[in-house]
Amino acid sequence: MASSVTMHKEEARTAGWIGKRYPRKEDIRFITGNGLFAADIKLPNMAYVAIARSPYASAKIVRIDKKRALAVPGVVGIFTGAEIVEELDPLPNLLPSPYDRVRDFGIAVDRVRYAGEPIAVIVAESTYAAWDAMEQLDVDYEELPPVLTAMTGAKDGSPLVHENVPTNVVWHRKFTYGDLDEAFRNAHIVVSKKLKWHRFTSAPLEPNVVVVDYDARHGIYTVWSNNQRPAFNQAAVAKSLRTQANLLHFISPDIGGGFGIKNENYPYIILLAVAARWVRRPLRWVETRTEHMIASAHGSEINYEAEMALSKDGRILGLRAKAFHDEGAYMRREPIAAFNFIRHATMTYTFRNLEMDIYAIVTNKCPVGPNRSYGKMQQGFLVERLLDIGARKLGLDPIEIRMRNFVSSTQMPYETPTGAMLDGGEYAKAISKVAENLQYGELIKERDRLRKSGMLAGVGVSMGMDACPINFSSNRLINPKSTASGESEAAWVKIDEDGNISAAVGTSPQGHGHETAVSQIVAEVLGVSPDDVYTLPAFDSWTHPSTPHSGTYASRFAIAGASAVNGAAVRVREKVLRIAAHVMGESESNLDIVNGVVVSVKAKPGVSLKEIARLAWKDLANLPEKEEPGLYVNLVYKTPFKLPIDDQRGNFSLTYSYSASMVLLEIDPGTGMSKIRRVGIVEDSGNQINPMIVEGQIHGQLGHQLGAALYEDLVYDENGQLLTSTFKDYLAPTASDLPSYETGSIVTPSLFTPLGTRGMGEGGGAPLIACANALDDALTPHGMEFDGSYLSPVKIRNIVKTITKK
Amino acid sequence: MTQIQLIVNGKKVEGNVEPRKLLIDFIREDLGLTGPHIGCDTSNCGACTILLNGRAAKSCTMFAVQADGMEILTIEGLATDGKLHPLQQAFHENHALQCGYCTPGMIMSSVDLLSRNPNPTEEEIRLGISGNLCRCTGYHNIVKAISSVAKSHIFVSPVKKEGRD
Amino acid sequence: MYPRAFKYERATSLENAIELLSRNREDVRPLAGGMSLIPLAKLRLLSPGCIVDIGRLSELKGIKQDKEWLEIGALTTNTEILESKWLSGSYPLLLDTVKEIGDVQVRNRGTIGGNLAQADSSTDWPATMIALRAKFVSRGPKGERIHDADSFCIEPYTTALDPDELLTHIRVPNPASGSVGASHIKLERRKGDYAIGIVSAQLEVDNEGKCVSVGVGIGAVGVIAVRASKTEQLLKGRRVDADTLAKVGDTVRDSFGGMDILSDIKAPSDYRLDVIGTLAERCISKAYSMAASAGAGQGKGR
Repeated sequence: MASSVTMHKEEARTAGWIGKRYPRKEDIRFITGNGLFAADIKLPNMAYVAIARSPYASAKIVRIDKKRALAVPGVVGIFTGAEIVEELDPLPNLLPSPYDRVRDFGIAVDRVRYAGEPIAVIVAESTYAAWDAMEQLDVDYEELPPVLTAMTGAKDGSPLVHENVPTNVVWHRKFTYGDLDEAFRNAHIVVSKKLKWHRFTSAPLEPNVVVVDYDARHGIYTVWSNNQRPAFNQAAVAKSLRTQANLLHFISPDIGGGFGIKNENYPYIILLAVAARWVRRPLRWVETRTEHMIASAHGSEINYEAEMALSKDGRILGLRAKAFHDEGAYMRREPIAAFNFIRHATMTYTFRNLEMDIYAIVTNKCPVGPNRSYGKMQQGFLVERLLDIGARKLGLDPIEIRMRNFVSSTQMPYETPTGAMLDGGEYAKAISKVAENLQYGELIKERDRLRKSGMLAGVGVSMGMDACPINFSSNRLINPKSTASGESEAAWVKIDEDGNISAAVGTSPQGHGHETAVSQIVAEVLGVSPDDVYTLPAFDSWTHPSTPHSGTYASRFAIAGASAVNGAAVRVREKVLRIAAHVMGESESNLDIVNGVVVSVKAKPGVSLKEIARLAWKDLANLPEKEEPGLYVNLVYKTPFKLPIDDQRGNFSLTYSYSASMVLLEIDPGTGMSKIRRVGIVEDSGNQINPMIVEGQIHGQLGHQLGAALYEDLVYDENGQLLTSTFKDYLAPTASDLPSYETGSIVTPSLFTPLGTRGMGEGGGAPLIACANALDDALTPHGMEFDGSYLSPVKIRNIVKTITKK
Repeated sequence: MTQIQLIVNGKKVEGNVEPRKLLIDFIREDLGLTGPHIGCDTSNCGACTILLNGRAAKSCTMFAVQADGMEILTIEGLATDGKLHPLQQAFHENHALQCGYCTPGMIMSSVDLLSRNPNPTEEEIRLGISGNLCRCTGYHNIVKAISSVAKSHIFVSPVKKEGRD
Repeated sequence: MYPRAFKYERATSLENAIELLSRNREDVRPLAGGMSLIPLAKLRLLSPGCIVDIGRLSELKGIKQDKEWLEIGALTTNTEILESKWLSGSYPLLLDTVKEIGDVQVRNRGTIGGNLAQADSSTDWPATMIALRAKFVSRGPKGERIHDADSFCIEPYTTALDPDELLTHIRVPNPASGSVGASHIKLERRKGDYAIGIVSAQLEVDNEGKCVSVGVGIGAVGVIAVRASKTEQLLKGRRVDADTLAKVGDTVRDSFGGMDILSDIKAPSDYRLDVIGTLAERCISKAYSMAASAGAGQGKGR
């Protein structure tokens, strides 16, 4: 019974699994080709689905004739929107009345509202046959004039995207903080600028996939999908299907990247569920890349009209902006992207006067949805661009002007005018460190050398902020009828009767390494190695714990997920120690767990976890009298959130990780093509569970952000056709297009989380914004400025031509 | 339907396929080897990359009938005797994957690269994998992983000499 | 994506291939490496009723040198060309071109003949073949024909070949002297993309540094690849100095006559016409420096 291992408490503390660069446990299956992705699921008697889609941006569906399509060999069934919606209730939206009438079934009924909108579900014996049938589906449309920009959609007399609501401006609110008139009256300079945030998407490499198997005996739908927020979406899907959420068995296996976009495949789940029930066969739908680009979800697209008031010494006195958001055709999560400015509206700065006038406008384009740094990098863009222009106008160094405006670490926690409670950090240190890492002075000299050699060149800096997770009470500011508040996550930790340790959490990762991070946390608490902890992969609603907020989105794992796992592990540990204390005749406070053995400071023989587990499950008469059997704790962690302060203020995130980025950009004046010569970033995400994974996330943000700045743009033509609908035209960058990254971290623990961690996966957009600022730095000596977030070579070349007349 | 015969991961396999069936669909659906993936429609992403007679090929840009009589190596066949290939090991150690979707194709392209250029520069590594897109890692650690294998001279070609043109 | 169904024929010999093409000539396409045909078939933009797989015809593979030319079999893959022993010496433009093509997977499967028969101006070979004054050998039911690189492509995606005729060999003339310089410059938005501007040039200089032969091909601007005749005239018999270089851009822009200029989301036509001048200057400058240094001792560079 007694182990010969004895150890002292101080030594135990050196385990330190939290904070270690521990190689990922999930890697092995992926590098050997054994990952299980949704498209790998193959069930007996399976049939295959293709989705017929509208070729028009706006049209009435006059008639759908299935006859020729049904005659194609291998076709099992064809179901139109009109047929399917008979079985459905509309999917929910957040909008207040009367705009809650915007109806969304994920499939068009009698009118199509964007090119690519589903109009029919085709089921066949093979995907090839389903596509053959799709070509034979006869559909008559009556074309309508499309609304293709926010600005035209907002005009009086514009055609309506949804004919049952009064205007295309489906949500509008003006948020005012402080005294803007006073701020602008006292301004030494005012920077006025129209800015354009371009439409792009994180485009995960794995497109959306849905597999549905309907079990008629129990009325159960088993859904395998690569939805990144299955537990959250389950309720909406059940409601639409007019069933109960507990009759939906939701499985998200390995997911090939999400980045927010994979919140948005739930409309396909309802379409396949209805079809699977009708044909009584399991169905699989695998989105093509083209379908993904035209009809999954896009990142937001914004026109800003903004002005910033600055004092002579470079202090921000106030910011006033109108923001016109092009939301696309349906309001699924929106207007959250438009509203999300509020999470950290004033970024890392101390200014108190702010006015944001927000318009959410529906158009005949692909719906907007969550996309890495959702609505947050856009606010960063607004603030950081104006501040940078202000610096140049005032003749101040861009780092210096930021230094003069930072919230200092001594002011933490700091409440911003919108009610956000910044949770610690050293903003000045971050920007200093990135400047030091890239040798700012040398970088400027390098820029000047490039300029002398005939290139355009610029150095750009930017701060970024990543507020997370979501306090759902923020919905109350969008729609006063909302009754939600807070957020939560669930986890369980179990030691079975043989001493095997398992853990599970509801976060449903998409490459984030949660199996590793969870194992590290549990190992730290239970005094074992991460190798001794089996963390359930992926997500299965019948085996994994969850809450209505579960999933990986809003950079929430290191806050909600980690805290839930930690909480459950701590309770298991407490129970282990109680039982051990009883067995060993020792006080709990003298005990610790080291290398899987409960040891006493008194150098007595220890008792193994295995033995405690045997007792807890199988030798129940020997347990302390009041102790329940087993070592199994299921814990729901409540992220400590409050209600809004008033109708426009509140703390809607718990942690505010931040970063400073610096870029040296070289532009070939002959072609307008930009190249990143150097890029650096320093991020503070508080205590890091696994610094290797943190660094990987930073690399990932850099890839996405630099890709968005230099390569990726979603462009529609004048008829509402997406011109960038494949990876031929949507220029996801290759390894040859991107530089290597100079990353760094500083660690100031979050004041508000149990482990001192901050959410960080999304990043705050700093590298993208730094690119735009660098381009301005390159153009300003020539008296020119840039207004966008996308460094289009064609646009840049046109600007250069006006400079050089060549 | 057309009868085909090929060697996949060292084993003889047969198939009866529609001529239009893409090789990737034959590998994934008929052979059940789901390591190679599909990420695009336009031969850009390289997630479907396999070795065909020893050379990297996008299996989405071939009909299965074209591979008749040829030798294919997929990611599933790269580890030998239960031991990871040095590139697989390096991807793991260097955190060169996140979601893992591009990884099988990325590793197969890296095999082709190091087979023909054992000492690539960083630029050559980036060019060598430019037919493979990754959306998670920003490529930084992938380049590092490939470079680490090259620098420590532990690369072993999985392709038998006579298998190569 | 999922191509439409087609009849599949696998050719066993060149003769057999031509016979199969003839028999199905109303609706047939040959399949070599498939790098052009299959992506189009997957998007259902091209769906021939019959596909004749010529990929195994060994008589169309390989490279051999003749007195007058280097003869490349149409089914030689780009990788085989890249790794061929012939390239490093007398044919610098072939090397400069082939290493720029697509990505490794595309080079491994894609063939030079398949590319040229696709007649896509935005790919690397057509402009280079024009610069090199290459000849193309074809074979059909009526026997063998020889085509000039200049006249091979008639309109976008259409060549002088009949539906039952195959491109069999590409003949690249051997350079006259050792003082050869070459450069293949292409502008692409992203590595491996279809180009938005290609200038391919080969120059030979005499011992005074004057250009004795000049070949300049332009791709990815006009809807088909063209010869920059005015540029060639400008350079012939001259040393390439700064004044000459300054005139290159305008002469290149004169190459397109009334031809339609390519335009897409990546690069509208006015942008292509604008930047091609700069690319041409860079290309000629590079090729000339190389030729001049190759002939060092005979003539001086700029």
